[in-house]
Amino acid sequence: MSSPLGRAVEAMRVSATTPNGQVAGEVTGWYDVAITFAPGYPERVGEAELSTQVQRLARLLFAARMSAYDRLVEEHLPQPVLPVTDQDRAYDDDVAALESSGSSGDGSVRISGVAMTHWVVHIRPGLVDGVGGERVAALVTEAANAFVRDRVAGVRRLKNLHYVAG
Amino acid sequence: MSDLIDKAHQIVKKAVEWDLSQEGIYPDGHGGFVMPGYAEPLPASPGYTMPGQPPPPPPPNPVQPMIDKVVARYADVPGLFEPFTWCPKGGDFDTMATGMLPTLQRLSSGQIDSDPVTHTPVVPNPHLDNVATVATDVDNWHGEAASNFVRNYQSHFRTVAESQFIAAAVLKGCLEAEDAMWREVASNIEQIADRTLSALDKMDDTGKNGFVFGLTVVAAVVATVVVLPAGAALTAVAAVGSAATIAASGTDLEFSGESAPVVVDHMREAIGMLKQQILDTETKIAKAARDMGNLVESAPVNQFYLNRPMLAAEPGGLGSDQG
Repeated sequence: MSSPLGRAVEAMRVSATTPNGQVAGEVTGWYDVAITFAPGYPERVGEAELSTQVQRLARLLFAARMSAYDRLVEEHLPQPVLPVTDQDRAYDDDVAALESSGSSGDGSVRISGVAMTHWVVHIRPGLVDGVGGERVAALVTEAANAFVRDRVAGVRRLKNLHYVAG
Repeated sequence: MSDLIDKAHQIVKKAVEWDLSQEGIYPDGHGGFVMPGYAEPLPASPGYTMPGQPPPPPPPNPVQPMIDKVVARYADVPGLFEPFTWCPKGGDFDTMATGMLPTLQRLSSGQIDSDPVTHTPVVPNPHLDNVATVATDVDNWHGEAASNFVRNYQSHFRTVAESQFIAAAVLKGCLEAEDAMWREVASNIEQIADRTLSALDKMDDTGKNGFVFGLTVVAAVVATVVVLPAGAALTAVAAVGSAATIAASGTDLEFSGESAPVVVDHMREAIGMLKQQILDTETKIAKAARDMGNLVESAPVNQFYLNRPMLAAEPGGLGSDQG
């Protein structure tokens, strides 16, 4: 049984689309990411432009996810305004510098980022021609989910470092 | 199992799973735990087994002591919630409080036309007015009995009726206060359970994991003073009642916790404070009821009761309601 917040987040579905309408993403539940491309789009633009559009989508999707998530938190677990301690400042600094990364299982797509504000998406040149746009979307999705898992684990490490250890 | 106890066990489960995940031990999806990388099955005992002898016991599972230690850390949690499953519920006192209304109406002479605790209007009992005129209404009633009636009964009747009205209102206020208190207790303990669960779910969030437990038990009961009618030996007495609205005057306990032990410790603290609020509020309500009871018992004649007429003790059943 989940908590009231847990149930609400598990039911949450957030989506975003790049301004050109060709790359779309959805976050379901806590962290489950899915990315799709308009049919034929990867083949038309190639890996470099596709990477740029995925980076753009990442910013939009993250902003949409946090907006929806914050509303649920406000509803189910209102946050107090607590004094900011030195411990909090040190943690915040480390989180702001936290680097995360994730790759698709075959290593052809890699996503890295710092502080959920700067993302770098690398799609191996020739991948689109090799496996087709639909498969590339699946590989980007794999990499995105690996990135999110790494990010969550990194945040936990920092929380343990600053709040739990000692 | 009540919903509340179910939530308590969920808190234990989430906290245990979180603590064990810090040790690299995770739920196996079948009610047990696994430690990825740990070789299963357990290594066989290196001890030599003599033919015909039972094999030596396997070496202790190194994971089990860790699980036992973590489970013991939260073993008290269901017990913290258990008293709240059998304590009075909101509504348990509502019928009794509502049942006091006819009593107030019967005792309302119209001089006091509202409940002095809640200030809600009370329909007066017009029959009480008749006492003021009974001596003149009865034709040719003269003599010692008539004089005694006026002196000992009629002239004190209003004070006694109003005093009894106030005593009944204080009792009704106590019942309403009890009802309001237990309603808030139920709401507060549910919130503590829900928000603890939510905080345990939110713990891996990037931001600070804050949570607020709102305690509204004290705010649910208001202390007031009711004034006794002129002529009474005492002028005022303390009373309690239900707050019409639970304003923002409750106590917000604000915490943050980035690990399960810390979140659960704050939950324990909140439950402890809730219990203290119940104790304090019950003490306040009990004092109001006891003070009024003592006042009635110690009051001189003609305040809460009148002298029993001698006729009541005479043959003929004049002391009964039918007399």
